[in-house]
Amino acid sequence: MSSVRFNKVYLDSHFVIGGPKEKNGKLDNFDLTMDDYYFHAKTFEKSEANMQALVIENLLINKKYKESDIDFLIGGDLLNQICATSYSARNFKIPFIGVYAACATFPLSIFHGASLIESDNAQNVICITSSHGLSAERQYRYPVEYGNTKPNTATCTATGAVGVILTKQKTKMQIKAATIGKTIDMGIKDVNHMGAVMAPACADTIYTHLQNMKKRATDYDVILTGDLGKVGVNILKEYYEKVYGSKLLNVIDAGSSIYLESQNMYAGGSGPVCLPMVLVCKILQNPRYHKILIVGTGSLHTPVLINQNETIPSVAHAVEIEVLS
Amino acid sequence: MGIISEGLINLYMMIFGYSRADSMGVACLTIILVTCMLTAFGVFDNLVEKGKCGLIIPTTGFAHSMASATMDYKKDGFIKGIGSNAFKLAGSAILYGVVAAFFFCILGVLLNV
Repeated sequence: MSSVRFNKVYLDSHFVIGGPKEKNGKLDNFDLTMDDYYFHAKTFEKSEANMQALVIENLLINKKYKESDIDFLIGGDLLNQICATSYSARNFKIPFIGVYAACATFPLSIFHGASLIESDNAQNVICITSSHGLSAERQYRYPVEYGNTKPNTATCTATGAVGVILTKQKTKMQIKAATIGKTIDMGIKDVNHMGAVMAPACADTIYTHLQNMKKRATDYDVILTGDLGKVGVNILKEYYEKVYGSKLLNVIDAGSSIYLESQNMYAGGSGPVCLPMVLVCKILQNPRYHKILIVGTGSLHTPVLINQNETIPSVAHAVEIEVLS
Repeated sequence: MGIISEGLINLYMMIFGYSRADSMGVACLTIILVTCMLTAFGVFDNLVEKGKCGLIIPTTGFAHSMASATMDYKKDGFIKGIGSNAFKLAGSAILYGVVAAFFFCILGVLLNV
C-alpha cells in the first residue's frame, strides 16, 4: 500500500521567502522577499543556504520554540548532495534528515515528518525546502550570464525557501494522508520538456491516491500539482483522461501560477519551492479551499546521465491536507 | 552582425589605412572586446534572447560563452574555478576546430591546393 493515513498530524505555522521575480509575479502574502539573488552572500549556493537558515530561524521565533522543541528537521533542495539544506542545518542543533526527490521534495518531507509524528516518535517537525533559480541554472544548465535561450516548453527554476512546522497539537490544517509515487520513465530525454516527463508520474500518483482513499477527483476542492508548467498540466489532463478514463477538472499547477505572462518565463516556474510557495501564498489563503491534494512532481535526472544518453525518470508524491473550519 | 563587421572593416581601412586583411583582424578583436564587455555588464544575454543566432555566430558567441563561464566560476577560485571551467562551453569548439584544421591541412597538402 503506497498510501498512508494520518490522524493526528497538523500543519502549524509556515514561513515563505520569495525571490525577486516571484516578488513581481502573481503571488503575494510572502513573509519576506529578496531584492537580489545574492541575499547577503557572495555566491548563489550560499544565498540559498542563508535563505533556508532564515526560514528555520523565523519559524522558531514565530512560535517561540527553542531548538530543543523541534524533534526533527527534514528537508532537501535541488543542489548536488542537497548542500543548501545541509549547510543551513549546520546552524541549528536539531536532528537532521536530508531527503531528495527533486521537485517533489516537499511532499516527501511532509510524509516523513507526518509518519514520525503519527508513530509518536516526534512532537514537532520542521519540513523545509528551497530552490534558487541561478544556482540551479549553474548546476543543471549553463553559466548564468550565458543566458541560453530555451524552447517554450522549458520551465525556469523558482527562487525561494519555504518551511512549515508539523505538530501533534490540533490546528486548523490537518494532514490527512500521503501517497508515495512510483518512479516512472516514459523514455523522454528532453530536459527542456519537464512537463511531459513528469505528467505520467503525476497522473499515476493521483490515480493511486484516489484508489487507495476510495475517493474521486471531484471530492477535492483543488488538486495542486507541483511544477508541470503550462504545457505539462495540459499533458496531465489529456493523459489522465486517456489512460484512466476520467477528467481532472480542478487541477491548478503551481509552476504556472507564480509568474505573470509579461515576465517571459517560458512555461512557468519549476523547482521544489514552487509547490509549497503556491500552497502557502495562494491556496491556504483562500477560504474556498478546504480539501486540498498537493502532488509534487520531480524529475529525477542528473546532467551526467543525460549526457550519457539516458532517459529521465520521474516521481510524484501526494499529500492530502484538510483545512478545518 | 555581418553588416556591422563589414562596416568596421571599411572604417578601419579608411581611418587607419590598414590593408583589408589587417582590418579584418582588428574588427574581429573589436567585436570580441565589445561582446565580452556587454556580457560582463549583463546585457548580452538579454540581447541574445532577442537576436538569437544572428547575434552569437560565430565570434561573439564564442567570446560570450567564455566570458560568461569565467564570470560564473570566479567565486570557485582561480585554479579550480576559472582555470578548469573557462572553456566549459567553448572547449568543444576549440578542440574540434583544431582537429578539423589538422585534417583539412593534410587534405590541402595532399591535394596540393
